Amino acid sequence: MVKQIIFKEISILFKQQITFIYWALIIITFAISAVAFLYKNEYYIKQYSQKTMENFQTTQEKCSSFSDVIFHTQFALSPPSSLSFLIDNNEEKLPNAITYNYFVKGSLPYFASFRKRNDFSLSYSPLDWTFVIAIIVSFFCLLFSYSSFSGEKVTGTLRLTLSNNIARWKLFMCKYTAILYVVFIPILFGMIISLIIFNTYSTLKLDIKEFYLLLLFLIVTMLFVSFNVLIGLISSVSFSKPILSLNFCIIVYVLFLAYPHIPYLFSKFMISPPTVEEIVSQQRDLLDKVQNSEEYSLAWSDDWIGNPPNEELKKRIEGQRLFMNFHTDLVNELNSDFKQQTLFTINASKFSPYFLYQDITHKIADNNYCRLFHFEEQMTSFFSIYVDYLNDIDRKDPDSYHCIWPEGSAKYFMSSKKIIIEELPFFKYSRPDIKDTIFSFKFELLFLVVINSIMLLIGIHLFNWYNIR
Amino acid sequence: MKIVQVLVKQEFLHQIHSFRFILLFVVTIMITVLLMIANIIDFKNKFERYEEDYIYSMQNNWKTYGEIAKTVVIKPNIFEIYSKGIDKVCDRTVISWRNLPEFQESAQIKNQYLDFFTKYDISKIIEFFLSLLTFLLVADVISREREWNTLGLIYSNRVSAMQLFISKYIACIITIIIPLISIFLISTIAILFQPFIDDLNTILLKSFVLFFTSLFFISIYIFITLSISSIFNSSSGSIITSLLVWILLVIIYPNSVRYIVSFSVPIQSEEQLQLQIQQIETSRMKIIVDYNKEELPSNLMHSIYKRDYGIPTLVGLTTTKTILAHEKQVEYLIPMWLEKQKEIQNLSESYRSSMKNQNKCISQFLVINPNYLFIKASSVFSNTDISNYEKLIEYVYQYRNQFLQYINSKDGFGIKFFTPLNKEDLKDKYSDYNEDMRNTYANIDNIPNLNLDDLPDSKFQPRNNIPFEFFILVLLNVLLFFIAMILVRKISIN
Repeated sequence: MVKQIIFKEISILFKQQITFIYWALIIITFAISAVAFLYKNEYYIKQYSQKTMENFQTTQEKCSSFSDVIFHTQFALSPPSSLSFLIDNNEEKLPNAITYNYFVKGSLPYFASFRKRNDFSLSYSPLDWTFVIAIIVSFFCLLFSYSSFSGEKVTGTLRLTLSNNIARWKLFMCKYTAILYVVFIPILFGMIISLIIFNTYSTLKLDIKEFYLLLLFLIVTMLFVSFNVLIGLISSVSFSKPILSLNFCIIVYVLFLAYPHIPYLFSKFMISPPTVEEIVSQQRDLLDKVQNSEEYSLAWSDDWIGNPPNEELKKRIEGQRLFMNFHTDLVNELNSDFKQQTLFTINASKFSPYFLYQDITHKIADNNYCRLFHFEEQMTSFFSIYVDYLNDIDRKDPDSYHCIWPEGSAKYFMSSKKIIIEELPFFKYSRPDIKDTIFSFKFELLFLVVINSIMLLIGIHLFNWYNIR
Repeated sequence: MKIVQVLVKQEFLHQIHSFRFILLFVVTIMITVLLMIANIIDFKNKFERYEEDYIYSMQNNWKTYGEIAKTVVIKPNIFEIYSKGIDKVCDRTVISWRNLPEFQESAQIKNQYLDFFTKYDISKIIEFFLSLLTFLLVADVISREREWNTLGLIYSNRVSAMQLFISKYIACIITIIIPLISIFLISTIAILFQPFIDDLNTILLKSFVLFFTSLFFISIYIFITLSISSIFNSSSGSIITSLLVWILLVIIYPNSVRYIVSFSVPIQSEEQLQLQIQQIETSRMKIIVDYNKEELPSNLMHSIYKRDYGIPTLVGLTTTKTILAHEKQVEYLIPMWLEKQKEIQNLSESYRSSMKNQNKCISQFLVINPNYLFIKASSVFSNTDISNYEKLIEYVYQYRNQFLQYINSKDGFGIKFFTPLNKEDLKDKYSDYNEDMRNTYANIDNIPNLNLDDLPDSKFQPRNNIPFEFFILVLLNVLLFFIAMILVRKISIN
């Protein structure tokens, strides 16, 4: 009986024009998304390899001695995520490199992006998998489910079905399963088509770890789709007329979509990073301090070149160090403010299941702000390794004066000892493993499971009390 | 005519008492209020910064023409609250011989982690919420009458299909005007109560123009939705179809076009541009270093010596030989410097034009999309679109040319570029200068500031244009009216 009802529901859904529109739309959008991703990804990968190679070659060409390495500024690059087709979110607007030398590690927000971004264009949402599912599929979930009970009540078929001695919860589950099936199949088709396109036309080859992550994405998507279907079903059993349940569904949809922008609007005022003006004025104060103090100096003399450092030079080194520390503190402060601001916005926005889903996808794909956070963390630990490595070499070399400040002419004071560039540590980004990835969204996943279960129970409970006459 | 009035009244009352209208109206108003609070605080901060910058830009503590770095501060545009427009921020720029006047930002450094959030403004609320409200409210106005069998009743009162259509259109537009007026009232009142507002008439006039642009935009959707409603037999069918059209026009189509164009029409990367600029700068620095090494005598004497990029900008009391050596240096290096700047300017212009080409391509695909037309027209009216940025860039470059001409007219690219001394005052030996000269020109604090009273002032006035997109919006309204008129003849009871 249950099977029959499920099949009946599916066949009813398949007879509707909207199902055809939905299937066609989803499959076409997935295909467009795949082609778009191919173009973008090819460019990003090419850029990444080219820039990494350029960085290595420039280091090799410019650094013949240890002191050259000390003053040479390199950059560490974050590679494009192989799963960025899951969620892209204006990735080209984000920085993806950090500059560094022995003295200082640059910060992300200061570095010009290697990617192509059009500041003169209006913002848009990229057609990635998450966009298709969170915006389009969720909308159709509501359209498929809003009249499941209220519609049948109006036509009288609900009484007819229940007269077959079927438990109400079973009927609820049948409708839920049928809609889920109709909604989910084109998503699966779309995904398979996309993967075939990737496999055929792209250099992108997904490994087993990435397939596991895709599976994870599928589970999360299933939960998200189920949540939307349940909203539609609950609204259907809460109202007697389908038109009322449709209005309710659309209002819920709009609210969930619009809500995340409210925390974003206020994030600037909740956590306020310093302005450029404030930074410049702090820098001016520091300059005054250095210029008016006996302990520091910024004066330069060409007579120092080639000679061991004297007292005046040491004062200059201290002066330079103050500026370096100021820069490092500023970068750290800015980064910490930005992170706090981002986390505030993201956590506050998670009240919207649509954003919650996007956030989980960001974590699965390790893209956007998640990748930037990881990149920053890995870069910080790499930087200390890099500095330790150079310090080690410096200590082993008795000729080195250990006086270091970032100026071209200062290389005269350093060791001229040859260095093998291949032995230098170079940055390589590695994405978090699957365990860490799952761990990073365990609460969100649990929330989705719990909310689905609660909504299912509410739906069944409401349907038990639903007046079918 | 009276029957049309009755129909309008009946439909209007039905709409404003409906649950969806009340709820979506409340949501729209709530979001507008929140948005206005956030945007007004943001604008206030911007304005305070502008005032500080403006006071700073009026200061004159330059001793030589080479030292001048005049800050041009652009007054924040209050209409950003209506339409944020392009991402590029134009806060201020510095006019000097050193750099090209490209715009810098004095605001908080942007948190790029949050760049994926949409920047909401009044036009976005209208584009998204009000258009959805329109689709929801209008979608069933005719199909509902058919479903409830009241269409026959209406026709029995000697009402023609056209009269029915017009009465429904008028009722819908009056209903939608309520939230639209509320949005504009909230935003305009919130703006007018701020102390930083000086040009009241422009604000009222522009709010009025933006209101009408929004009305034409909404009217297009009313025509589309009424046409859909006239075809369907059931409310649900017409609402679903209307919502599908909405999601296609508002979400899928514009985003797909932008996404596809973003990778199919290439633009230069910012890094590529920086790299090319760096190459020019390196070659420029090489010329300077070579000149200073080979041509500049090594035994020059300076009591005060300030340099920028190896070119002297302030030389205090010194010998004739030193001054003449620097004069030769400036006369050789400055024309080369300005010539190289032209190359950098050309690069920046080609970078900008590649982005403009991409935008042009997007606009060609979206030229009949009401949302694109509305957003574009709003940003042009608000002076936040790319054409305004271009005008700004054009203006600051022109102003810099005026500034360079001014320096030239004052013989500022000669010895006055780097010293306040006159040629006739120069002595061959430092000891030949009297006590008074030494006190004045050998101590940086005693050197008098330049008199720049006749330096042309910078005042950028954005020009107001009527965008081409506005006319297309009007044209679309006329076109859709005629299409609806054809469709309306087919409104039958069944």
